[in-house]
Amino acid sequence: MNQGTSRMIGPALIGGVFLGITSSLPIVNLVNCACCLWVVGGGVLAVYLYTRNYPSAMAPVTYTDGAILGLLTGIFGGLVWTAVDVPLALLWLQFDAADLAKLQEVLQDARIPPEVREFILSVVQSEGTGLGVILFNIGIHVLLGSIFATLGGILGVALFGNQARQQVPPAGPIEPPAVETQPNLPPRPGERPPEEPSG
Amino acid sequence: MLDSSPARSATLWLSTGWLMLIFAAPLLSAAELAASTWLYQFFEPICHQIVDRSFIFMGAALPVCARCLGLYAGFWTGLLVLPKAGFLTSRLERHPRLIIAFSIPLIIDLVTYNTHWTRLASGLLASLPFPFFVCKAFDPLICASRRVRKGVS
Repeated sequence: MNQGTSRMIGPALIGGVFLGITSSLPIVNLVNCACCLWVVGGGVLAVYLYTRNYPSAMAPVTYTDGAILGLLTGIFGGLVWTAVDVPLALLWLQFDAADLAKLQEVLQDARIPPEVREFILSVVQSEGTGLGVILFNIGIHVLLGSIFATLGGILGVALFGNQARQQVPPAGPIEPPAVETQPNLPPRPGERPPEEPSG
Repeated sequence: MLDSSPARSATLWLSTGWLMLIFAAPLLSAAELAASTWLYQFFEPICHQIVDRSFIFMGAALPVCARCLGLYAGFWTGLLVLPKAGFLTSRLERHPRLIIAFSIPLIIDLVTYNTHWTRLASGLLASLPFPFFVCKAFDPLICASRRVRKGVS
């Protein structure tokens, strides 16, 4: 892990926590329905934090940096997202057959419209009915978080990485660039010869 | 520049696969296969999936709304179109924040009267320039991995 990548951990964690919490809070998470805004926003936030205190001595932030930062943010965020979601899913798991029978008894009330009764039962019977669903949700959150936060990271560099002017290596030749060596020419008149290392 | 981008073809495959997943959900639903439920659940965290705001395909709503479909289709279209649009990529190269301008119709569409088609069109335009930046991000990684593979073999 190079110096740039290790500097990414902090911003990625902050972006990930932001992503995870906003995406799992009821009502707040509805913003994700608008172009996955919290997830993309997590990646953008991470890049913003990364570039804010970026040392000018280092190479400019590249879109590749943004993608890596976004990916890390998405992985952290997906885990936080699930960590908040799982307790809710576990609550559904507690809803056993006896509870379901009690609920059905209550729903027999004639004042409850049949469609409402059907809806409540369908929700109770479909949500979090097993460990498989929880594992599926973990996978989905990490996968979607990684994809969209990576895009957010790239977007963040486009927005905040003013110096991000990376040189894309040519696609064809993939050999390492040849190192040009200067032949040992004799010193020009009036020019001091290079000093020999002493000792 | 995008013509020779090694990331472009990989991204095009992934993007095509993503769009196929979207259209596969109603197809599987029509065939009464359980995989359709999983596909709808897969897209659930990233789209409201309101039927009134989604296109109907094969008698069932797509698992994403018209705007989301536009965003994904725009990304896919960008991968096809941008290599032929040198004037646009050179401007994006110099002014990356130009990407915001492409989102303006989407923002206007959000706050004004909209239809399926305006949502689709504004979403399509918003994500159109995005592949340019994605290819710039992944080209160095792919080139580096090729160098490593070549060095190993």
